[in-house]
Amino acid sequence: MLLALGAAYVGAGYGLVGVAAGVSIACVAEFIAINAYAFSYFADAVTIASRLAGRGRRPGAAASRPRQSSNPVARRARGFMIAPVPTSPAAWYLRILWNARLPFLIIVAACVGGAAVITALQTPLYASRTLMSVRPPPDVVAEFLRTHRPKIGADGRLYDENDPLRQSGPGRWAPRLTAPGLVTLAARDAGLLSAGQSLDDTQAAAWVTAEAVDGADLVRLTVWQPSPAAAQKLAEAIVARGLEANRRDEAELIAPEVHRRLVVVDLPTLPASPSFPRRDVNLAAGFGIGVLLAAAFVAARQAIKS
Amino acid sequence: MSHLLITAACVAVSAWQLWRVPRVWAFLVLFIALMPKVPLAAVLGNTTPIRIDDVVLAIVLIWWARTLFRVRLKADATSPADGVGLKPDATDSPPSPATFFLLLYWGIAIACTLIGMAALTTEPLTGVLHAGRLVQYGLLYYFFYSAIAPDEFGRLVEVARTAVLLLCAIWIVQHWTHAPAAGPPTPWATLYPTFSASYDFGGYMMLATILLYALWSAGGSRSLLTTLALVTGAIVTANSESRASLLGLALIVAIDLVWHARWRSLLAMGVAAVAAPYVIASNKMLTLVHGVTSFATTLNGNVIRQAIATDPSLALRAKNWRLAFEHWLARPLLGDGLGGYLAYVRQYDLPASPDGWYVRVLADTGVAGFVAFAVLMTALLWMLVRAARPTPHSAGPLPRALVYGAALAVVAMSASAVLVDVFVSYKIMGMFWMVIAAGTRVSADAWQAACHPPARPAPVPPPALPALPTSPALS
Repeated sequence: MLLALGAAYVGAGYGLVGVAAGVSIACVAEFIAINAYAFSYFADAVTIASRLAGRGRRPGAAASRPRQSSNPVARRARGFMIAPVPTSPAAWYLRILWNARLPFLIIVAACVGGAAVITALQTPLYASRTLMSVRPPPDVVAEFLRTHRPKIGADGRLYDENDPLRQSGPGRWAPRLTAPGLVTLAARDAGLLSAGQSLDDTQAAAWVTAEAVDGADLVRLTVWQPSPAAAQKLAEAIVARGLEANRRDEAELIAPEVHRRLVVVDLPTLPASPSFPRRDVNLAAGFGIGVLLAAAFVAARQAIKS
Repeated sequence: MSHLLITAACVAVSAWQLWRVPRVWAFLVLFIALMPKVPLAAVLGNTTPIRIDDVVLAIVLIWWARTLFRVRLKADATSPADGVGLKPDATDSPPSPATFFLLLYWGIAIACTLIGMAALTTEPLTGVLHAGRLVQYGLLYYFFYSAIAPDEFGRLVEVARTAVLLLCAIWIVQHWTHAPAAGPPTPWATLYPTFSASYDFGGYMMLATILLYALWSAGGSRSLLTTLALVTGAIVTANSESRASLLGLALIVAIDLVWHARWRSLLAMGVAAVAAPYVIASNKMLTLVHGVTSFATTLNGNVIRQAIATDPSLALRAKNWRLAFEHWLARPLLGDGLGGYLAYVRQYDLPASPDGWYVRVLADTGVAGFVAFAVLMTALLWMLVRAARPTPHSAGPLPRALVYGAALAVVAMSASAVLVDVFVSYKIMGMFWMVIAAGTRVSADAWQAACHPPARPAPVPPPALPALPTSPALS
């Protein structure tokens, strides 16, 4: 394995083809080396070389392979011979696994099939994504660069850009964009809710998520809906409502140093394919659970037997 | 000055111990515990350099492999290392019961790494380094497995105990002689002898203490030195600033007490918990003890929620776990490949580990690697628990105590791996695989005895009949 890894590393300089070639060459070398080592117990160097070259055994060497019997009864009896006692625990495990191969495969297939059925039954959801920036106005930045005056936050305490709990930028605006009230109003704007309907916390969280991007002045907004157009429309409405709320709220702040302007960096996208359910994840999880369950079944069966 | 004294004392005690047990495995047990991590060369894009330990380990493993193959090939020849100061280790061992599962996990992890390299989700050099370390730790297992013969288990306990006592002595001397510099006080967590951080120091001490606890609990060894090492090990683990290790140790003690129904001992543990504020000097660990006590007495889930919200270390973990989980969602079956996490996980603006082994395995090797690892751990636990039970083929109290300690070590490591990457720390792995090797060796011996019982003595031929008198010839 390490030989293959090293060869892949050497071949990586030539791209994927180089990696594949490196692994293949290493595997061939490993195959030859292992076979030569195994043959070394039974034959001399010349015989080993001729066998690896595919030329058969040396003339005069003793034939070791038993001839196939022409008697059909004898041939059938060979299949019913009692297997010898395994020489190592690994061989024992392999034999247990081989004896239980059918239930093992059935359990794995059932779990993967179950995951596929669950995936097929789930309602597809489309995600429209938007990137927004929350940054101070240019005049505030210029003033700060000129004076290097410590800033006082909206709560009256020293403002720390690096403290996620006390910053007034993306960390403050991300939860505001997902607030149930704002999402309800935006959904009404988008025509997804009638005037009398509203969303609670859970429903709003299922429709919209927003997170502050670490180390940047960005907020990533994601809107989930059963159709691509509805997702994009709701995202646009939330962005419009958010911009309006930003203008109104920031205007009320007395200290200009803590003003933050919400800017759209990337407009809401129109999703081309559903983002949910995650087919690959579901199938992989089903496969993993299936293998674990099947292994547990085989172990339990063996324990009961013994 | 104290550094020189500590070094001299360590060298002297180690030399004395090696004089008593002149084995390569004994050298390795002491070396892993007592040798500080000294970097030799940085690996591009990696936080972990290649260290002196790696070179020494490589030399020992190569020497061992050479001896092993030479002995296997020339079974009748005398050992080539006769006459050397450290005697060669035993090589006539039964096949390891863990090989199948280890190879399965290695194979899947390396295949995921190769695919990750091809998919450009992990750097080739990083993948090679991490895969190499994985194999290195596994080879440590095979070294200890084949090197420590069953009749040497008493010596193994002696050497491991010496290493623990030396570490505890270093820790105590370091704290006694530590003079805080001017300015803010030195954090308690900066003092961990020969280890790189509190997590590997705590992990090592946890495993060593569990081994000693199992020996004491199962009656394998209850000498004065073992008891002293057990008590100091428990105190140092509780003060090691590694909460995952303390939780692992507490879990093991609880399992042992409940399993053996030692209810009076459980009361004694309650008294120990009350005394904790007077024994534990670390605020971090005291907070943990208070949190656990609050949860145990109120069963209120908000205690855990508050702990996660207010602890910066746990908050950092939560953020990195989310990132790792997102990477797993992108490549659910095979993951990014070993070491791929270095591209996105950060701690204090530096590349780091997600600090959660299972999340890391999931992100690095996907569901395939996760399942293989889970199967490996479950299989180890299964075979060790089976070997720990008293059966007609089971060994004496010391081997059974070792097997019991190995089973407890698997449980403790699996529990503390939720919060810490214990399975990639070389010092923890050295201790872990040593304990597992001893345990699986007992298990393999029992398996071999069950499968291949000793041959019955050949039936004694009946006594020869006395010669019949020759009948007179008929005439």
